Amino acid sequence: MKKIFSILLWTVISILGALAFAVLALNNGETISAAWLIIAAVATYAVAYRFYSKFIAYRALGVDDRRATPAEIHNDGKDYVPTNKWVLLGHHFAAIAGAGPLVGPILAAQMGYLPGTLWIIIGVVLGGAVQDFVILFLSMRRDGRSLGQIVRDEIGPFSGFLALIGIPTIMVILIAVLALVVVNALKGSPWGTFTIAMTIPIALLMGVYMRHLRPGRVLEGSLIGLALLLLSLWLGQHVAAHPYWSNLFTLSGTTLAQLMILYGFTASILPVWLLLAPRDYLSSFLKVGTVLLLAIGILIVLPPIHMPKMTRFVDGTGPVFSGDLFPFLFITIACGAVSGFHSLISSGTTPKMIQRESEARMIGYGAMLMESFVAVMAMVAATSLTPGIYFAMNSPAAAIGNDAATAAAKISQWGFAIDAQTITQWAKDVGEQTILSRTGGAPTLAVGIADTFSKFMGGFKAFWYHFAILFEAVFILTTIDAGTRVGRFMLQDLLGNIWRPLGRTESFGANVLASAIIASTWGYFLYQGVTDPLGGINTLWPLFGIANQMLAGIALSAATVILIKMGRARYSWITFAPLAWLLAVTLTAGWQKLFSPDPAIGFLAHAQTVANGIAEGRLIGPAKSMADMEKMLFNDRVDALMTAILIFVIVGVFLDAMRVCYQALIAKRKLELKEAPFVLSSGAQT
Amino acid sequence: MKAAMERARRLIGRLSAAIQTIFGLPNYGAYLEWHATFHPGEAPLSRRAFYDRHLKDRYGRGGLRRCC
Repeated sequence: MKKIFSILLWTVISILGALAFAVLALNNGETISAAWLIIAAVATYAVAYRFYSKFIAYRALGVDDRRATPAEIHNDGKDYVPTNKWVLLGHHFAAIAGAGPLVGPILAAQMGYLPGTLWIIIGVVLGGAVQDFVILFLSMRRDGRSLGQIVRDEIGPFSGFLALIGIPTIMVILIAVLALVVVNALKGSPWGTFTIAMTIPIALLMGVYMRHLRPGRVLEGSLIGLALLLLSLWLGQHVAAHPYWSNLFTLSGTTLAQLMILYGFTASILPVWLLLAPRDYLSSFLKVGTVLLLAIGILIVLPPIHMPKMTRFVDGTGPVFSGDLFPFLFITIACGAVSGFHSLISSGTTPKMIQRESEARMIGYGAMLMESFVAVMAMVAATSLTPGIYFAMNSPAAAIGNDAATAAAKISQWGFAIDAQTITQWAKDVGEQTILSRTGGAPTLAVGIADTFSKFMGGFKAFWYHFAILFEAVFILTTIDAGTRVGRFMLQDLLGNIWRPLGRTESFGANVLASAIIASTWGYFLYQGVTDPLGGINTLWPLFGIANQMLAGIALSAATVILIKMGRARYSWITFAPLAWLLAVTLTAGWQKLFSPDPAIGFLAHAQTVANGIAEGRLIGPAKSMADMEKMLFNDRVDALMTAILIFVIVGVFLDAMRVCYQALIAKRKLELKEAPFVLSSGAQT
Repeated sequence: MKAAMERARRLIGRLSAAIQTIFGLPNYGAYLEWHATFHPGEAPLSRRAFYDRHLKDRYGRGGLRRCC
């Protein structure tokens, strides 16, 4: 009886999902409800979780609840703590969630809702969730070792070295691109800038409270911080209305960028309890808060989707990012489909807290499905806006000009009818001077949230907009300070090999030096992005996407090698298939970024155009002097070099991994697996 | 009445413990419990020292992990 019911249930879910996909794909022209996107996603997740993740867990990996987990063996009350699986699911989700799945889908929406949504849903069940789950499992079998160590142990020292280069590289690009998202949200916005600026004194206050007044009471301190944050949000409105204060907090992109570099540097050298830790606590809450807010709003309102299923920009001429659907859609949406960064989290704190091996399935695979759902929500938020507004916000000034009339004319010409008055009205509604060219996704998402919330809360659109901006900016900014600190440690490890005193993390001089190097490295890319006429996101986001997928490539290479070493080669396609796809995507994208003859895509082609301009004494694009031209030329070459490094790293690791696979499969050598020894769990029935 | 209050208190306690684990916050109560089980008779860290150790673990070398 139970079995028949189960078969019936899964048949219904599958049919429902298929029906939703049919509606999404066959719809021609009329607006459809967001419900179809959500049903298609949830039905696919459910089926994939129930069948595919179970197959991976029990057939391919062989999870064994008789085997004690690191949490049970070491139980040190600190890192290794057996934790309830639902709480741990929350912990893992809070650790992997970030700005990525909120930004990527919004940029990808320029091609219409269908391509991005399909990639998010299919990518996660066959790629992203598989990676997170398998790496979590493998790290759990190795006492919670990090990805870098696993790569070194199981593939070899050469790959370990490449991972050592690759991880800081992606870190630097990540910080720069996220900082750029915040700059684009805050420039010329006194309300937003004031609120974000206030988070610094609030954090200092919380820091003193939690260390000196009430030591260790983090929840208390955070509640006070949250209350003060809401207060400054309300105050911001009055700041924006006041002529003097409003002027003080209306900052240009370049000023904001300089302030941010200074902030990242300062936060990295100050004691953590004072600034970094309190901000980090606040931001963790706000991060989960943003996601819940978005989900609740969309599930209640179920807004209609106004964006067509595919726009003309699938041909690669879109204003938001340049390049064809293949490969650029697949690197624009990384987080939410496949995010290599998660492999660092899956080999971090979570594997040390799992109670039973089988629970890794829900935590690893399940949390990634949740993240994918967040990406679907972001897609809904972007595509439920009038397309004209979407393009007004996401196209760079170089494409649509600087005033509402020019922008409206240009966007209407693309086929998305909009008039200048509507654009100005939207800006006024959300309490901003302009919404033009607010690229980077965060403002579009905030407008989407504000629009949704004002519908069922009866107005207050401007408040909800700044509420959303505050939430997003705070948790994005934590990546900047925390990331600079992580980068500082990585660099000090490296420098310590050259001259020992530079590696001492407690030495103030070494600390300042390493922090300054890291902050100026990402600061360089940030500054380049801010001054870029195409808005920077255009250049930096693809680089970030390539870097992120490259990391996923490293993780999946390691997973494939280990499956083969475990004698489970016949299941190695589970990780090899997504690996092959990601290689195709990153290498094609990387190749085109380097060598495409189209200057809008290829860094070298663009460098050539600029170099020709310099030779002929002719200014190009935004350059106002020959010095600007020289700077553009240099930027192009640096970007090309970064791309080349990323390609070199992924190809190197892949070939090294294939070498090991060859030894195991064809040369039939017995290779040693670096798993922790089997210990019988005390809970196991004998 | 008293029993209901007691139950509510326990529920709030469990909820805040869960929130602390989810966000990776220091949980002094849980530490004391663990300490009493595994190191009975020894003096545990003070609240302040425990918080400092937490900060060192979370933000020291190799402790920080951030995602995109």
